[in-house]
Parts: sequence; C-alpha cells; structure tokens
Amino acid sequence: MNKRVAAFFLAALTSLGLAGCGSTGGTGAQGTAGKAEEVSLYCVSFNNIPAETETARVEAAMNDYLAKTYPEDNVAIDIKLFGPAEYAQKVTLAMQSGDKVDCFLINDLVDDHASDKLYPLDELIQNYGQDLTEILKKDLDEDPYKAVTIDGQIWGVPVNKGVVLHDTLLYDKEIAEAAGVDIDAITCLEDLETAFEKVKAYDDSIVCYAPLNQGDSSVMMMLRDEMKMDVLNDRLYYAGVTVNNEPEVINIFETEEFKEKCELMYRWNQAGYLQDDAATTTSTAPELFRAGRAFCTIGGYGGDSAGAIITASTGRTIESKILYDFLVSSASISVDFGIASTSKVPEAAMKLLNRLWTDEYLLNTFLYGIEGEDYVKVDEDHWAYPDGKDASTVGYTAALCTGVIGSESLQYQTVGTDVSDLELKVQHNKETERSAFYGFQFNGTKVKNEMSAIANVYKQYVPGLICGTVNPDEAIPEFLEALKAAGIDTVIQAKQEQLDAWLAQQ
Amino acid sequence: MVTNKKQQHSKTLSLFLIAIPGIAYLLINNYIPMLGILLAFKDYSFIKGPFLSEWNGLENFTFLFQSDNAWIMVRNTLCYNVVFIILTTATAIFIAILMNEVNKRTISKFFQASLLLPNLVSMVIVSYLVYAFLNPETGLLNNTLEALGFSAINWYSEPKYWPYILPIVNVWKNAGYASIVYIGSISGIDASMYEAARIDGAGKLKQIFSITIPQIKSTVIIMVLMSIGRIFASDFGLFYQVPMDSGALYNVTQTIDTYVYRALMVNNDVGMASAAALIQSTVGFILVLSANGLVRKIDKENSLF
Amino acid sequence: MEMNLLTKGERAFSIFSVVVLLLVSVMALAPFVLILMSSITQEKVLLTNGYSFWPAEFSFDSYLYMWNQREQIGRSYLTSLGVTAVGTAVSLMITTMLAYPMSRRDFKYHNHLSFFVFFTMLFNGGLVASYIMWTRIFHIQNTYFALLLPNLLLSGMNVLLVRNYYQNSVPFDLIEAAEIDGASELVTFWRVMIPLSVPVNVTVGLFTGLAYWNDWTNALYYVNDPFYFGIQNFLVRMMNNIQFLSSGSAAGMVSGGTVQLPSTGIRMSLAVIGVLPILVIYPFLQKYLTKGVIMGAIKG
Repeated sequence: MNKRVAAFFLAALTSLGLAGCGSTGGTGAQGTAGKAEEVSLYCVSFNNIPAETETARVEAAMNDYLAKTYPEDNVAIDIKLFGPAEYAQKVTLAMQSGDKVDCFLINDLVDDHASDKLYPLDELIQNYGQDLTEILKKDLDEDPYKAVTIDGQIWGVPVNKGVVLHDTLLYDKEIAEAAGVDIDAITCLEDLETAFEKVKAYDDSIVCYAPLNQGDSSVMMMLRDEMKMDVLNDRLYYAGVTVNNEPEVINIFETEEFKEKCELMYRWNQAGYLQDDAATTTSTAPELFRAGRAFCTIGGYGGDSAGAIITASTGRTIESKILYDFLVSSASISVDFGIASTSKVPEAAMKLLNRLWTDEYLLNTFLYGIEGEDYVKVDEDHWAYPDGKDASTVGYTAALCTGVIGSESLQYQTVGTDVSDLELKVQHNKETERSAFYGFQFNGTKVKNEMSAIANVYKQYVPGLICGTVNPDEAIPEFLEALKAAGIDTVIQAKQEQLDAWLAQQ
Repeated sequence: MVTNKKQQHSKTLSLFLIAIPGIAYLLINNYIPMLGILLAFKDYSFIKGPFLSEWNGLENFTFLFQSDNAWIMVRNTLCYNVVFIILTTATAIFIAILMNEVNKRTISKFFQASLLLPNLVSMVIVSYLVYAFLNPETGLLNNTLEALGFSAINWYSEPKYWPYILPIVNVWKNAGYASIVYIGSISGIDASMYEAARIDGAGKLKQIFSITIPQIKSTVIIMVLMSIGRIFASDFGLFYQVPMDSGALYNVTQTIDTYVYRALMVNNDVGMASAAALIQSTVGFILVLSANGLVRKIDKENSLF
Repeated sequence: MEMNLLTKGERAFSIFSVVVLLLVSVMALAPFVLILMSSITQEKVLLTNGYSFWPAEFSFDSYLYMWNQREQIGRSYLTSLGVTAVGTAVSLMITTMLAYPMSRRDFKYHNHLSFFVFFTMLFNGGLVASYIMWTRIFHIQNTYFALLLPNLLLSGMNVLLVRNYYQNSVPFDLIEAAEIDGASELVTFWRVMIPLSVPVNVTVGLFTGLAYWNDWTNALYYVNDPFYFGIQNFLVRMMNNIQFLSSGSAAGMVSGGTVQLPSTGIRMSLAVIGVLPILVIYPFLQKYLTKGVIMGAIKG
C-alpha cells in the first residue's frame, strides 16, 4: 500500500516538475530536414468555436499550402481558437501549465512583458519578418514597431489595420429628419443640445443620447481626443495623462474640462435626454437603434463605414459624422501578436506570422475557412456564406476576427461593404497626428496596488458622472478624495519619472 | 463486545480501506494542487514557471489593503453573509417543516419542483429578472408604485434599498435548495416518536418544537458550520451582476470578490488572485475552528470533527 | 385507523402549510413565467414596454434561431445527461464509502478523516495547479473524463451530510449486531448501511446531479473541442457571444456586419432551454426517489 502511494506521489511530483518541458503533440525543433515545425497559434474568436474536426480540415488546407508555397519555411499551423470571455485565461493557463503555446494575441503588451510572457522579436523580425515589416510600413506606420518596443526591444507584431478611431457621431437619419435636426450645424458634443430639444419635442419617448456600452457615454474618449490627451498606456482608467503634447503628467479628473463635461451630462440627464439609469442600463445604443428608440450615440470608429455597419445590423438608417480627431498614442496600437517566451520554436512562429500578415490565401483561409465549403467568393474582394448557410451553421468560420489578425488590406470584405474604406483607413493610419510621446510605454509593476485600487474607484464614480446620473458638484470632490486615497499621486509621480527618463533618451 | 488489539487493528484497517477511493480522490483533486497556494507568495514569471519564480513575501497581499475600500468590503462581506446564513437557514427549515405536513403526493411534488427552480437559473438571468422588476423606466415595481400614486424610484442609484434587495434575492434563489437537506432529515425521523407525542396529547406546534427541531439539530449545526467556513467569500453574481455593476451602489454591494475582480480585470495577476483567495480561506478556517470548538464544548456529538 | 383522525389543530396546520407553500411556490415560479414570456416577446416590445407576463406582441424568433442549431443542442443535451448520470452514480458510491468510516465513532481516525474532508472545502490551490494535475498526469483534456473528474466527483459537504445521517439516523446496534454475526466491515457497509442510506442518498444525489447538470467550468478549462460540450457550455458560450455582439465595442472591432439578433429574447430562451429538461425529468425522478425513500423507511 505504502509503496503504491509513494510511487503515485513520486509520479505526481516528477510530472509537475517536468510540466514545463513536455507537451503533447509538439514536434519540437527538428531542423529543416524533418517534418514541418508545428506552431500553435492562440487567437480569440467572436464566432462559434468550430469543432476540432472542422479546424483540422482548415489546418490541413493551410499546411498543404504552406508546404507547397513556402517549402523553405518548413512550418505548419495548429489553430487554437477561444471565445472572448475565456481567451485571456486560457492562454495564461496554457502557458503556466506547459501546454504548447507559440504565438498568441497579446492581452496587454506592458503587463505581458512585465510577467515574462513575451519573447524578444528584434532578431527574429530581422531574419524572418522582412515581408511583414514591409507591409506594416506600407499600411500602418513608417516606423511600425515604435509602439510595441519596450526598453529598446520589440515585443509584439501589431495587427495591420486601421488604428485611427475618430470620435464619430452615429444618428438615426429618419428621426433626425422628422424632428428637423440640422446635422451640419453639429461640430462638437455641446452642439447636440439644440438637436436634443427638437427630438424631445418631436417624440418624448425617444432616447436622445444612448450610451454605446453599459456605463460608458464615450465622454472620456471625447475628452481624450479633444484635449489631445496621451493616456500613457492606461486606456481604461485614465490614471495620469498628458494633454496637448506637454510633458507634464496630470490628473485629468481635477481639470475644469472634465468637470464641464460632467455638468453638461448631468444637465442633459435632468432634461431627460438620457435614460434615467444611463449609467447602468443594458439597453445600449445598438439595441435601442434597432427598436427605433434612440436618436444618437458617439463612439470611436475607423474608416467611414461605421454608419453602414450599424445600419446593416440594426435595420434602421444610421448615418455618421466625425466630431473629434484622433491622436495616435502607444495605447492605440493595442492589438498585437506576440511569441511566447516558453516557445520552443520562436523562429518558426515568426515565419508563420510573417506569412499570415502577407499572404492573402493563408489569411483568408484562417478567417473564412475553405472556399466553396465554408464561404464563397462573390467577386475579387468580397465573400459571403454559401447558400443556405450562416455564421452559426457553417463548419468553420472566424469571420468576426478580421480586426485581430493579419493585414486588413488583404482580407476579403463582407458583401455590401465598400473596399475604398480600406484605402481610407491606410490613409488615416499614415496621416493622423502622433502624440509627442508615441512610443513611450509605462511600466506599472511598481504601482500595481495603486492601479487596482484606482480601477475600483473609477468604476464606482465615473460611469455615474459621465452618464449624468450623479450631481458633479457633490460627486467630483468625493471622487477626487477617493482617488487620492487610492494613490493616484503615486501613479502620476511614477509616470512622470518614467516619461522624463524616456524623453531624455530620445 | 470483546475485542482484542488485533481485532481492533484489523477493523481500523478495513474501515480505512473502504475510505480509500474517496481519500485518493481528495488527494488528487484537492491536496496535491494545494501546492498552488505557494503562488500567493511569489512574483510570477512565465519564463521561470511556478517553481522557480521568485518569492516576494507578502507583497501580493498588499493590494487588498490599499485605500479605505478594505474596510467597506470586509464589512459588507461579513454582514451579508451573517444575514444570509440566518435568513436562508430559517426559511429552509420553515419550508421543510411545512412540506412534511403536506400529505398529498402530487401537490408536494409540485411544491418541491417549483422551489428548486430558482436555483437552476444562472445569476446572469436572475440579474435580468431583477432588472425586469426594478428598471426605472419600464420596471414592474415602478409601474406598480406609480399606479398606486407613489413616485418612481431609481433603484440602481439608491444604496439604501439594496441591503434589503440582496437578501431577498438570495433567499429566493437558495432557500428552496437548502430546504432539501432538511426535508431529507425530517423524513428520516422515526414516525413512532410523533405517534407517541400525539397519544400524550401534544399539539402540532409542540411536536415541531419538541421533536422535529431537536431531531434535525445536528444537520442544522453542520450546515451552519459549513457556511461559516465561507463567510469571507461571496456569490460574485449576486453582488456584481444583480446590481448591474452600478457604481452608486458600491458602498453596499462591494465585497471582497467583486473588489478583487475589478482590481485584477486588467492585469489578471496570478499571485494577487491567489493571495486574495488564501486570505478568504484562512479567515473562514479560523472562524470554523473556533465555532466548531464551541460546539464541541457544548455538545460533543454534533461537532464537525 | 386512528392515523386519519386528525385533531382540529392538526387539520388547521395542514391547511396552513398548503396555503403557505402555495404562496411560496408562486413566488418561486412567477419569475420563471416571466422568463418564458419574455423569450417569446417581440424584441421591440421588450425594449419599449419592458418585461410583462402577457406580451403585447409575440415572436418566436429566438427559438427559430435555436432551431438552426438543433444538432448541437441535441448532442450537448445527451452529453450532459450521460455525464450527470454516470457522475452521480460514481459520486454516490465513493461519497458513502468515505462517509461510513467517518461516521463510526469506534473508528480510531474518524475525526482526522472528517477534518481531512472538511479542509478541502476551505482551501484550494487555484486553477493552475489543478490544471497541471489533471492534464499532465491524467491527460483528461478533450475527453469525457474532463467533464466527470475535476471537482465534481466528491463534495466535502455531501460527505459530511452522509456521515451526519449515519451517525444520527442509523442505530449503532445494527452495526454491532452485524459484527457479532461475523460480518466483515465491507459486508456490514454493503448489507446494512447502503439500504439504510437511501433517504440521504436521495438528497445528496440530487445535489450532485444538479452540480453536474449546471457545471460549465470543467469543459471551459479542460475541453477545447466543442464536440464535448455539455448543454450549459453551449448556453454560456452563446450568452457570451450575444453579450459581445450586442455591445457597442463589437461594431468597432468587427469590421464585417454583425447579425441581427433578438438579444434579450435569446438570452431568455437560453435560460428556458437550460432548465426545461430538468422540469421534464424531475417528476419521474421524484417518483423513483420517493419510492426509494419509502423502501428505505420500511427496511429501517
């Protein structure tokens, strides 16, 4: 008995110890002569996750193509798709337990780098990523890796897509016309007030301004672009930012501008332009548009097709108008792929990324599956589901992943969308102003505790303030005090120090 | 009964053998993975892995005590749990006693099935149901209030109502499920005890208080002790989804679990998450040990161990 | 028989019980009716008028949408049923086997064992360590074992409940009598304890069965192939997708057009689909279980 128990324990412990090395089905480095090196690619998918047999079918097609077209690479892909709710946890778990992870969609570049999840890419890109660099230079930025560089090393491959998301007003055209709203006269958030008066007079039951997401009226986003704010990596909680390209890190919530916006929203809420429970309601803009109950919302969109997309998904005529121009900062390049620090085949992983970013067939097969079975080509640039099939019944599709992998300029577009939008996005990428601190990455490991407390304080006060459900005269002082207690000054100071050091190096 | 040492020994061994499958499972599923608790004291690095990552003392714990949120979330977690334990236990026993009185088989079946139903619905759906009642514009409750001539209430921004709403939701969801245990243990009571009491002329209430409740006492104690073990934990869905993550309500809805969730949403730090879980378990453990000690002193038969 | 001669007070109490339980049942059921009704309400009506017990306009769109996925729903139902049945049976077995020695006050280590069990209810090593254990040593990933083995097979609470029942409801004389007859411990357990533990097994079996039926985390962590998904995984995944697609950020991230879905309606119909089979099966199960309880009582 005792012997067996002991043997069991021994087995358990050795396996735990070896967990980092072994992996099932991995091919390991065998050199160019042997079987192709398999690269496990972890990616999020917003579609139904296809069954393993369906994925295997698509993998086989891609691997055949890889072997034929790029025999010198000698790589093969192993696709791992996960839903948005579990993706981040799955990758972390897989890496911790020693599953084979080679490249993956990065959750947060700075955090993932700080916890040693990422493999440095400089050398790999130089040796195996020339095509990749070229297409990124063409579509994204002359200096494409600037926003994914930390301490002089490149850690990520940016997804090659429109990163410029202008603050766009989306409104229901039928309501605007019926109420007699003059859209041309609207150039900023404040201008909407007269429009709301008319809409309210036309039909009292219409929500004049609906939040785009639960608890988010996009006010912080507008404030960011209006004030040319660089959030210094903090896309979510705005703890410590610079404004107008000045090198001084400030607390945005102490500014007069923030207060004015909150007061405006509070006044609008009191006047009934927003829902009573705007800060918490789950009836957000897309749902309300569909029911014909919302006049407008504001969100960040790339290109010029936001109106068309929302129109297609709501069945109402939704038009768009850009209100504020975007400022490209390091935080804007937020969707990147990385190579896992635990990968045994980093070279092969880079070769695969290089092809996925530049080869039309590979990328589109990854997204839409096999032509004729999972999708059909309508014309040169457009695709559709085969007759009688849709996203939920087709064998394999990752069609909603267009924004998280590869190069947008190579992707087939959904039937009905205008290809010229792609050119517009590239133009925006190239022409839009960069923040003076573009390329700066804030390392927050030292202020983790403060950041976690600030996240809680932010979520407690900001949704109410920017949706106008609380009186800013009372709430802002309380909010500022809570931020101080959470340690925002420490964060600002840390950001300032790192920013100064970074500037000194430039 | 005469036993010598050898017999005693073989009895111990064979009883132990019967327990082996269960013990083995707990070792595999629970005890060996407890090594993971060590992560709470490490600065996790993916290159170094779980074993070689560096120790960082109690650093992972400090985020819980940043700012004055700490006191509020501890207060909420503890107070709600105490209220929940009392309310759910009392309601469940009440239901079980009534259920025992219903002799007609069909109707008691109907009752049991319907009482179980709330427990089968996930918290996300419960949050939609609560929203159906409380939503300020079209909610059933506000409609009723307005029909009765009262003014509508913006439930999701008024903290004062939530210390009542949350226990109601909790009892609604869990009491039926909890009553199953008590229904089971009441049905195990020897019927002749009641018969004897009736012959002595004891009324229904007397029977309940002098037979039913003393007979299920040990079950009640066990159930309460087990809840005490989880007193520092909370039902995440109840405190996060049901109040629609409304910031205005944080003072009365923030618990340790919701705080940790919000705090780690961005960086998803393994060490910090382990640290929070370890604190919750340790406090529960200490409280249970004390409560169990107390029970053992008063009534040795009914203690947990 | 005098059993039937209820006193006035007893009759009153009986009526009181039925009335109160009826009220409680209505409170438990009403929200479910609301779920059912909103799952067949026109989305637009739901947004304008809110939820109601009798919708102004009916729509079966969300069920039509589900019907398209009937194959997957059907298979995940079967998976869940199978896993629940097997899991519950095995679990009952090892639960009672572990609880029996714990219940024996003449067993030297009964308190140690209780502590050993209770400790697992409080502390756990987190996901990473469990994941390594189950995938590296037992290789359960992407098999049905992934749904069966982790966490659900043995619950400390159930073990303690059974132990408690043995201690309080099974007279020790019976065990002693069996031992005097020369029965071994295993035989005593099998012949005496198992038949007597039917009532508590009904309770514990119900808990375990529900835990298996409602579980989706095991498949989430240990299964990548949707082929092995149980019904709850199917529902949770769909819920998440809808959540994402109906949020504003989807439109920003996804450049293709998203599908028009009655999102609230689908959520509600998902809830209905998850609960319905239990409502259908429960009465049969109950019949069987009550029979078991009565049999147990006779033998006792």
